[in-house]
Amino acid sequence: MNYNQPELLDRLAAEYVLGTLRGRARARFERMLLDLPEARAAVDEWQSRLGGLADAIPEQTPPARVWREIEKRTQPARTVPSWWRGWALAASAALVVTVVALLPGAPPLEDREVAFVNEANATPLWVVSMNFNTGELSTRAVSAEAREIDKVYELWMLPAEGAPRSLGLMPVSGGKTVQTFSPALLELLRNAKGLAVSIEPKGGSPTGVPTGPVVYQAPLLDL
Amino acid sequence: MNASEEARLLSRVALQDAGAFRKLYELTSPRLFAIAVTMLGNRAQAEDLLQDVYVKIWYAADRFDGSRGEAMAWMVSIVRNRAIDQMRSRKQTVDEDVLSAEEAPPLSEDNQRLQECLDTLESQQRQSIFAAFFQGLSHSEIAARFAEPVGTIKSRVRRGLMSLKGCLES
Repeated sequence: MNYNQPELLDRLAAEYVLGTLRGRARARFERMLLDLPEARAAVDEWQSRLGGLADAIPEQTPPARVWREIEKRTQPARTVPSWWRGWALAASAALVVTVVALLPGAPPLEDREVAFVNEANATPLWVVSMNFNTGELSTRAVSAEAREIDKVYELWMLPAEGAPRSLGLMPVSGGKTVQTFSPALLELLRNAKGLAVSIEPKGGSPTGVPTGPVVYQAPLLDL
Repeated sequence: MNASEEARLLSRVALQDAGAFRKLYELTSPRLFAIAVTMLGNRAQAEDLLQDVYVKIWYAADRFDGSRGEAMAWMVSIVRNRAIDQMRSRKQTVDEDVLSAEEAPPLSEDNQRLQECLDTLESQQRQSIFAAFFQGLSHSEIAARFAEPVGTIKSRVRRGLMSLKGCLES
């Protein structure tokens, strides 16, 4: 099947979203979604077109036990693992995330670059920027590439107190992610002790704290 | 694109904000649960599915890109895709009490354009699309239901979808 034809891709995307694409054809198309941005774009458009149909289904409140189960599976009681205490010692000397200039005073109107993640030879891997007006943290992959197929890089903040807080997955292959910080999170960041990057399974840490090796670490510099 | 309440909450969920996740659940679970019940035809299975869906939303929230579509459409697609995956070997019993494939209640004002375009479809095209969307019927299941050849249903659905697209883009 020649997936290069845009009409074919569009038809497959429509049937995938509607649900009539089944069996092996569906499985093949799902694999393609991972590789082909045009397929992903076509699916997004069809989801936007058809998603409103769900409006017609009368709502039904799920029983309370469903939420209890969801809570158990997403926010288990947090214990701080011993490796975390050793963070200060675990720094990989060659690779450092540096966060610069969390200034008090008038925030800039535009994105300000706040961190550069570089290789040992100073090749930039990621650029992290913050717009203090909108609370948007942007992470752009400059030359960072995925390490292993089933692993991702996750960015963490080390707050003044408590467990590390995930700041989301880091992009690779020239991609960019944008996160909007709530004022509360922004405040935590201003007082945080540092940032770090860990390797996690696909989808990020399943426990809410780093589970994989911490490969980059950053002291937070007050200027 | 204006950030909807769902999109705003989702961006906080991406940062593991438990309060935002709870609000998002309260706001959206009645809709997603109804979709699961309607497609699976079984409340207990729908409850399990709903759990999986929200656990997935919790871990995948950072993958939602607001520039690519509405948050609710993204969540609707997660629950529908999961339900479809579960239907693989299900023996289809047609349940007439569940949302009728023939017509659907009118959509809300937010979806006015979609409603207008649905109204321009041939009624058979609309019925087939509804049967697929609301009940997750496959081409062969729809063909069985309407006692038509599978090929007829396939082209009917295709034409209906393309008409819909043409209307929405005009």
